Amino acid sequence: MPAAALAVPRGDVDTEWDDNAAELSALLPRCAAGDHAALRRIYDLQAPRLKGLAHRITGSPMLAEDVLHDVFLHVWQQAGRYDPARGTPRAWLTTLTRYRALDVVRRAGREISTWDPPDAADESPDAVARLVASAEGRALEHCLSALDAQRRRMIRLAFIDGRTHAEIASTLDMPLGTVKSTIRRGLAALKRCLEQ
Amino acid sequence: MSGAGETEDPRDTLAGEYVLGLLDEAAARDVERRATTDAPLAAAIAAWRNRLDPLADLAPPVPPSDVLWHRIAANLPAAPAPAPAPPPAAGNNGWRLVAIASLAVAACLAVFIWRDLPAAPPAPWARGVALLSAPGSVQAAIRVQALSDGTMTIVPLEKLPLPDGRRLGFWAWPRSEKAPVLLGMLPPDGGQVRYPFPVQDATPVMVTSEPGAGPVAAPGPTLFLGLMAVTS
Repeated sequence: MPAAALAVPRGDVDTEWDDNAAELSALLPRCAAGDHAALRRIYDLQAPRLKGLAHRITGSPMLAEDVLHDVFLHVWQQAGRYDPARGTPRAWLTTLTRYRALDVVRRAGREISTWDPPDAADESPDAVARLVASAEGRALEHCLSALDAQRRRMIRLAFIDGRTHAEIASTLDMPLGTVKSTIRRGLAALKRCLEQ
Repeated sequence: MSGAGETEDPRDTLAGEYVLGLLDEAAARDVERRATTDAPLAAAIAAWRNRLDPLADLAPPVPPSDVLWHRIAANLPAAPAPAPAPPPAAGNNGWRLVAIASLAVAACLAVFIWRDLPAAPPAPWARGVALLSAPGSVQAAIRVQALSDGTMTIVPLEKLPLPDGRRLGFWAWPRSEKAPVLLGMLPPDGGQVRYPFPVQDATPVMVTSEPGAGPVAAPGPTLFLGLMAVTS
């Protein structure tokens, strides 16, 4: 089953990923020049991915749309200030969406007790298939797999589910200090692996 | 544990924690402040953003609703640099292309409907109301009332701008439709139009600037926009 789920046409997907990256880079200056069609194109390329992310963090399709609304208005206004030195256009969009979604959730005062975390220590085969659809994703998945399960889970909970140190500690019923040091060591190991 | 060599540059660790979103509000703002003057910290943040970005793909993509783009487009402030020309008729707007055929038909029908509607007494009761304002403005400029007989009355609350040689398009985007539907060309002093859809909350209603002649293939620039609120 996992083998089948992972059987993605890698070459094609990589090409598509690279094309999208190049196109996004070209679209941002056009947004800065006031070209609505350029923003619409970014929306067509990225909105489903970003809405999925916002939905995962906020747990609500309505809030996810509010997040995207704010993100795309921000992109329109700030496209001229986008600096490639601060990350790829895709990573910039991801960052804007995550932070906006986290703002919304934290302002709404999410109750940890009501949060229902994913049970599995690992993601579904479909999710992993999406992750490994790019060369960057494959490298990351490879290095995450090399971490012990606890570290891997904590990093994922933080990034994709938008959990703070305290929330992770509460969810996993571990002391805060242990969570912090475990994640730090996990990040260090991840970085070393990705830089090899 | 993985053993030796796991102690790392504290700056890099901080950057990783910041990008993961682990820091509380105050600590995160502090990192952002420091990054404006600490180039290695800024570079470490960028590197972590790029490294972790593929993790976002673990969340399954969710198609946005039909109205989301419309909400965004309607709220775009004026372009930072003056646009040399109005938005081109043909672009990459998928939904527009898809809708061209049906909208062209709708445009022809709409002219007919405007002419055909008698200046008769209004329908007995209001089903819904929408207040339309210019994008970026909070002032209502047009009141639209959906009536129980399947018509809408459109009442300008101020003098509507009508550039030379243009017409005002009146559109709605019912939930059942993939694209906005042209209901007719709006006389500057308002009018009445048939609305062959159920009256539903939050249906976008808009007035656009359209060319003076010929069929209308897709909505022109939005002049006024509002959402329907069901009243009965």
